[in-house]
Amino acid sequence: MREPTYFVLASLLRGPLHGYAIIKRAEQLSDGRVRLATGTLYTALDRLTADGQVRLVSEETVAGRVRRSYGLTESGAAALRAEAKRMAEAARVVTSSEIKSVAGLPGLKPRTA
Amino acid sequence: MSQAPGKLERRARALLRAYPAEYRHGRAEEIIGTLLEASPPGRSYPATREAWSLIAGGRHARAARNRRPGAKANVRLALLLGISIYLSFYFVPFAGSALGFVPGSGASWLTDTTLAAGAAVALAPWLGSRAATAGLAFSAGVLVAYGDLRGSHGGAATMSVAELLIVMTAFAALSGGSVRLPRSWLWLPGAFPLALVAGRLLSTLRAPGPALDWSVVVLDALLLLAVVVVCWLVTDARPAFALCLAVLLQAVTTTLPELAYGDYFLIDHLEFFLVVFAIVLPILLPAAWLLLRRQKTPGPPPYPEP
Repeated sequence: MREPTYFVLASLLRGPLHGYAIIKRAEQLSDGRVRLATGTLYTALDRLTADGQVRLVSEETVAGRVRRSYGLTESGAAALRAEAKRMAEAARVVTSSEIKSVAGLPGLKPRTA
Repeated sequence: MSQAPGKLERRARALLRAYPAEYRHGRAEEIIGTLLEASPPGRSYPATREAWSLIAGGRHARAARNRRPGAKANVRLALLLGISIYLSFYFVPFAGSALGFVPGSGASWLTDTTLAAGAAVALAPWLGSRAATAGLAFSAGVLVAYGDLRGSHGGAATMSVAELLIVMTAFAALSGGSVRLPRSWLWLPGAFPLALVAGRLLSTLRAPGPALDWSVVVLDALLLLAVVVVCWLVTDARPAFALCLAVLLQAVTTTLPELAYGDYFLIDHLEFFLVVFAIVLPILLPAAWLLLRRQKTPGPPPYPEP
């Protein structure tokens, strides 16, 4: 799962949100690292909807424009949990071991002319 | 009362043209609303990253729409379009005869009627009826055969009636399925005649003078078509595949009789055919791969259903 997709799903954990709210929530959750562009967001929402991980929850009209809210499905929540678990296990490989950097190991001396 | 759209909204709407019409119908207002909310106040152009994301999103949406009929239906549509374009190649010389461009020929009711029947056959698959395509193909075939017997086409017919019959039968058999040819492809059977005109203009600009090398004109036309289909391949493999198929069919049906009669004309034109193949094959192969690759998902709907 790519990082933008992960944060789109994660932004819906607390309940349904509309497009702009998803962009803001994803940015907040990723400490400003993931800044979704509008086209990227809707491409991700189309794909996640087709895969059954996200669904349209409500539709309202605000200032003459349609505003749709999207929510996480059971399948989407399961995919998100599985991805979080995979990343946590991958992180544990590094965080649970003592790291020996090559700076402390004996090595070849650089050849001098 | 609704407000007039600002500069940012107008420019964003122009970028939304990258999406297919049915997608825009369902989603444009929502996407515009989100983009306007996400843009800082006073901005009159969408940010570069926003603009690129809309163009890339449009490409994704178009590719998803094109995948929706499934691989089998898409192959049928591409073959049908390819033969339609090829038939338009075939009937181009009749237009030359009808307009008096071909030496020894002139306007006659038979040439005019054959040309009209040929145009009708090339466009018949858009009617979505196999019986109508078969009927029109039969009428055009009879007219070509009658003109051949009378010798009235003044060299316009470049393929034997038997070959034409095979192509027409395949054409009629492929037409009339549940998935129709998109209306946005209707201009394509006229693409090659138009490319020939553009190729002729290009050649005249390059080497002005009365003498005109038709091989150069056709090569220019092919190069123009190659540029168009490479651009198109990004979103839709079907017209690209169809155009290449038509060019190859044309090259093969022109070469076969010369091979059969051992004509030395072929050796003179071998280089020309090699160039045609060198242009067409690098487009045809990726187009065929895109068309036949396994489709894991049918593609998302234009917008989610509640």
